[in-house]
Amino acid sequence: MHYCIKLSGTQGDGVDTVGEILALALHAAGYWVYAYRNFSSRIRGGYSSHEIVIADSPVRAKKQHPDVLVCIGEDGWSRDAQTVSDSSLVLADTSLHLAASAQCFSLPFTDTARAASQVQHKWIVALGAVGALLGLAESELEVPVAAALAHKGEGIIAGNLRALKAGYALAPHLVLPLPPPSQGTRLEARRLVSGGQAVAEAALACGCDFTAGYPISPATGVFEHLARHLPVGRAVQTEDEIAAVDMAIGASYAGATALVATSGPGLSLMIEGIGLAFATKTPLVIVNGQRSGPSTGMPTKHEQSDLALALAGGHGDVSAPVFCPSSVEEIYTDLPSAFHAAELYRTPVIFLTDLGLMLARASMHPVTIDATPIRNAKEGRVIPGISGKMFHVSGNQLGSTGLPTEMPAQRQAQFSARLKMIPSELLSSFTYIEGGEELLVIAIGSTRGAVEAAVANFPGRVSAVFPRVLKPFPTKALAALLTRHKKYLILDANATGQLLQIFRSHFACHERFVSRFRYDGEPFMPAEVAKYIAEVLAND
Amino acid sequence: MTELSRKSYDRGHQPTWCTGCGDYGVLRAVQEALAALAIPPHLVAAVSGIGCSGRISGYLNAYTFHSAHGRALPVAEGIKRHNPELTVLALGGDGDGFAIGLGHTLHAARRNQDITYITMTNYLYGLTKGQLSPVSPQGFKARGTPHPSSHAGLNQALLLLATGAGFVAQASSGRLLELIELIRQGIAYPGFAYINVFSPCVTFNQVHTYAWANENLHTATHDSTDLTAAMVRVNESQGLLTGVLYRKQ
Ligand SMILES: Cc1ncc(C[n+]2csc(CCOP(=O)(O)OP(=O)(O)O)c2C)c(N)n1
Ligand code: SF4
Repeated sequence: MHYCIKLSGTQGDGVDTVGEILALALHAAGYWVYAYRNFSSRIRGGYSSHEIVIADSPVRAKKQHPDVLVCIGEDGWSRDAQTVSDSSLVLADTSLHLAASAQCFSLPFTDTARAASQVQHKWIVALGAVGALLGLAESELEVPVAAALAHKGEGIIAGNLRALKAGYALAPHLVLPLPPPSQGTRLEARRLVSGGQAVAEAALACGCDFTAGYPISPATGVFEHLARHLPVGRAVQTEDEIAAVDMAIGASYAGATALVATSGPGLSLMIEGIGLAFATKTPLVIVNGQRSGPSTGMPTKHEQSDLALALAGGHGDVSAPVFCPSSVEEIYTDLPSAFHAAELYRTPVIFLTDLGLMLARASMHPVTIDATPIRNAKEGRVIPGISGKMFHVSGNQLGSTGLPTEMPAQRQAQFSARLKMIPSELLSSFTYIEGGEELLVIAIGSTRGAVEAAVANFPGRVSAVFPRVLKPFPTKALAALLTRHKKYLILDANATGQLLQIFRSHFACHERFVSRFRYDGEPFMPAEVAKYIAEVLAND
Repeated sequence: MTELSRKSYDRGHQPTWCTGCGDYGVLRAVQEALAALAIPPHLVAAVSGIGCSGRISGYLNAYTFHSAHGRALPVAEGIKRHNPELTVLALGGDGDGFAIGLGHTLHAARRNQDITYITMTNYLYGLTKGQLSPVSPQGFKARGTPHPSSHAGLNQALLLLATGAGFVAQASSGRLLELIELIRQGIAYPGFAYINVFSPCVTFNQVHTYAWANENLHTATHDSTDLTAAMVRVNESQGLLTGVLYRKQ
């Protein structure tokens, strides 16, 4: 079972809040939920939608066509009319004047809201109608509605609950009851979390006690979450990302477990600091949520186009490890590895995520974090305040006396020793989904959700691999895997094939790589990936 | 515990500065001020930027961090925030703190962590061999720049006063005793303290010399607890005042 309910409207109109409430309610009802918010880079107005995929097993991808599309306003309909398929059900506000049909229902969300409470509650009316359609009990929506509006006061909550009830009454003839979630999933302890929330929670569990940042989508949530949980003065909003990374470097040098979170434009500014941290052997985790670029690009849209920047990591031979989780679970398992590597090898570590992973919320089983290895790796690090151990660190190449040197032999010896502090391959460097040997699909980050859904259509024929560490590149481990498959399909959520280039630079068999790109701001979809797989298999 | 003296803060390396460079005086004064305050070297963290002046951290016996061009302050602030027990100094040139690092200078002052920030002002870029700095006065000609500066230099003290910094002072590297005393007061001040030192570059600057400093810098006589008076005087004098310019009560 895979249902997609898409709420589509105008930003600031309530569609975002209602999407969050519906996702929470369905998650609480026991379904596996994946909720993807598509919004504009402005505060009010512009297109905004919330796609909620419901399944009876873990789901991490959107669907090409919604099963139910709920639309209020031109912004939503003009964008999403084209996503509707023959089997989609459309619930549209009467103000859109759509011709009614067996698939299309014109419902007075706005008018009903005006009559029941106020016009601003039109999306709550729509929520009620969707609840009725899906067979959710009214109480299953009342609870999250009241919770989401708790800060707004009794009067507002009461008005919204009236609107919700009116929505339930709106279309009693429309029913598309979901099959009940299987008992197994209902009983399990599961959580609905976004990648950003996962980063912040995992960081705190790792012992992160300092952050500095500058607001930027899709990383702002990480800073905000950390700022709510760290003592005052230990989450600093700085004048820019340069100050943020440098302040975190100072804190880490003084003994903190520090993390900064940003996105492409901020990573560009942090590159200088990453070089400084590498040269001064200062541990630091830099989380980057990739979004559309270059420059401001489409700031609220998905892309994976910072691979080249993250891998280069700076001018000079910066060899900062780059981690690359491909699910919310891997954020919880791999962020500790990133902190551990930072402490163990005394280096900045880039934790490369993407907008889809950072912002979409997904149901998951909780992952527990053991921070002991991180604490152990920190032990013995000399920090200011310890008597008799004073030392000098510098962005300059230091010689054996601890002062800057330009002596050729010293430079070469000291710098190669620095590089050798980082091993040539790290553990757990990829996730492999074994299917068959005809084709290996290669992708990173949130693209994994679409790939996993797609390869399930080719049992026994197609496998998939999601690198979790891009630097040091797991050449040996991946070579062993690649030889077992005939062809490789690389999915690059960017225009220039950045992931393809990485693989080509490490493996000689270029003719066996096929690649597909997507850089329109949308993530790869399962059906799209399945089509690419079928094409490659057919070409064999 | 052994008696602390200037030597306790000396790492024992011969600086690479030119003979006569103003930065020697600043190094000496920082060491004397720390000794006067009897702060054990392991409880001192000193962060410097890049430039001739930025080399100063390497010569101090303390926990020292030679950061990137213009970035001493954010690094210093991170250290202070993580370990408030430490005495944290940030040091750098006028280019470091007022060109590439100006944003950090103003914001660090505004955030008012208990850091002492010392700039060594030589009116040009020393390490890159004599280009104009943002405080070079109009008409000043530097070796590495074909034409004299066509615009006025920044008034560093006035800018810092505008940030709300609680302690702003200026001194000349050539007048050691006053410099030591001001750095001592700055370190003792519980908040962001800024000390701008006129520190001659004897190699590239034939205008802003020790003699120039003696002739052109005047001791401030206004009420240093009065911010408005400080701003008026610092503005009128184009910043050529020494002593404590402002100290918040
Ligand atoms: C990002 C960056 N740009 C340029 C430089 C080159 N650079 C080194 S020192 C310096 C200016 C030094 O002038 P100042 O800060 O006044 O210090 P001084 O040498 O005069 O003490 C410059 C431009 C650099 N190190 N980093
Ligand atoms: S060049 Fe100027 S600033 Fe640099 S060390 Fe020599 S005298 Fe000092």
